[in-house]
Amino acid sequence: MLYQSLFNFLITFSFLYLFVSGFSLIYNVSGVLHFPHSSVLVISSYIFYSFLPHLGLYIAALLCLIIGVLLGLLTESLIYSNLRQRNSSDVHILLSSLGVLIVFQSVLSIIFGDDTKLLNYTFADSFSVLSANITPSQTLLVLAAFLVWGGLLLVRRTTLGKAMSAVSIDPQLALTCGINKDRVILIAFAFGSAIAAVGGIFNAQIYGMAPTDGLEILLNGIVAMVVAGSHHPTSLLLGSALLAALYEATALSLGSQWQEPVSFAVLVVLLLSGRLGSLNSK
Amino acid sequence: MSYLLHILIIGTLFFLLAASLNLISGYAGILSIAHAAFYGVGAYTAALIAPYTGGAFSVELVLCLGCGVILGVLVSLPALQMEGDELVVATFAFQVCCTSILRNWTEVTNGPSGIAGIPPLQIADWPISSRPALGVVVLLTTGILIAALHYVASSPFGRTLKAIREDERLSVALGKNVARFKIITFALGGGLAAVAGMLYAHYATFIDPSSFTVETSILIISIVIIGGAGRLSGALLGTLLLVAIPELFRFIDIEYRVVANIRRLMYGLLLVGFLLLRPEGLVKGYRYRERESL
Repeated sequence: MLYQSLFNFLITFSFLYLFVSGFSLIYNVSGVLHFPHSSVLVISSYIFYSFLPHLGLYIAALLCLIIGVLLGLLTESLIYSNLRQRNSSDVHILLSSLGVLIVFQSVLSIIFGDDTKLLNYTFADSFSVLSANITPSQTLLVLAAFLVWGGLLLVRRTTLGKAMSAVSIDPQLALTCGINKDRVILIAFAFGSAIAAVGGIFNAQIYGMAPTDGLEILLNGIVAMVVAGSHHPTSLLLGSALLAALYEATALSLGSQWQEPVSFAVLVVLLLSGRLGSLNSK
Repeated sequence: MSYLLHILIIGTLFFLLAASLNLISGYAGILSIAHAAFYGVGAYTAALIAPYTGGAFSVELVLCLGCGVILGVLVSLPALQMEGDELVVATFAFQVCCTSILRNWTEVTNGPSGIAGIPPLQIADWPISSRPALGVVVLLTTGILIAALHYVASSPFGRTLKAIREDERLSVALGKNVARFKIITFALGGGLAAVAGMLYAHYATFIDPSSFTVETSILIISIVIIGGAGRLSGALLGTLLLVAIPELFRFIDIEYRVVANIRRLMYGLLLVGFLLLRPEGLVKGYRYRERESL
């Protein structure tokens, strides 16, 4: 029981990290709370679910990545970028992101229906470690989360990573230093959306999917970002771990249905205690 | 005829919801995406107390209004210390949390199955069981509340809210108690939304959590923004565009589930389209503070 709970914690934590690392990257660089990021994850799950039987594992996964990145890029270049050029208010940009979330969610509901879909697919048999039952997809999810963490740490050391930090800290100064702000923002959207698509592939295999799933993932991701207190990949990793531990404790003591109220309580406590770190108006 | 009456009642309730959110988001400039939570609390309060009150209008009105006001005050207290993205995230989290409680606290709310058989409203021992009579009650109640809201919005109170929206520091410098104004605004907005919920519960006679989700909150804020924030006429036009006209989709011979999703898709597209092409809304409402150009 203890080992199974520990492994469940690892799964929740890894999934949460895959979502929050991309969401936080986009928010940090562009200043936009990209609500449809959760839809990109869910759409990727549906694409994987639909194309896996016809195209096989690798091509279906590649298709998820391509469509996920395209969705992120299109949202930025057609909507947010346009609104920024018109000097729209932050409130309007935020509202447009809510609008896009609704559009994505409705399209999914129209095409696939509102019920939860489960993917009956395993590419290898599950195995037991210390009496915990583990599937290969779950193992890969944990591995993917740590790979993304390592990758993001590496990117921070490159010229691109430094340009992202510059745009995040002072976009105007970055512009005067010759950094192409719009291009850097687009790259952040591409990276972030690709990570969400990876999360979507595992979501399809481990949890199953429904069009409205995105809202809960979004809330948990935002709380993990606030708990992390900064946009540094390691802080986000620790934030996700803390929140996942809290979720597992809640599920064991009160029942999994109380995870969202606990999320909300954590968020309010953190916001009220002034620990806004990663969530302040730009 | 019966269907037109249904559209009129639902449209009137959404007008009340949009007008009450307009006070918070349009006049005071505080973006909130938790209005469906107040609406839901009003509906569930009415459904839960109805067996004890027998649907007595005045008792239910006072209790639902009271619940909405108390919840509005509770939400406004943390909101006082937040602004921008923090506030939006906090209201979003509050909304998701409320929906989750409605769905999961099965002992009280009956979970996703909802509460059925809500008795009709009663005014002076006269049950309002027919749809036309209930339509009149909804129209009259909403009319009185909207008139009161209009009076408040055009009074010095409403003008102070606009001043706070434009420049909070200057309002403080002029001696205005900004916190008190914001608390009262949330209390009024929450209370009126709860009354809309109460009327909806007695009209529909069945409620479940799916009517009070984040999507409903986004629909209400879309009505305010598309109509024109800070203008009562904007809330009316927004309601006509987003609630009444999409009802006509029902006459197309396709599955109800698809129709509901097409309507949702339509208001998502309209919201994005308006923000890109006409951010001030149909009646030239408040545009919110613009970003500094880079």
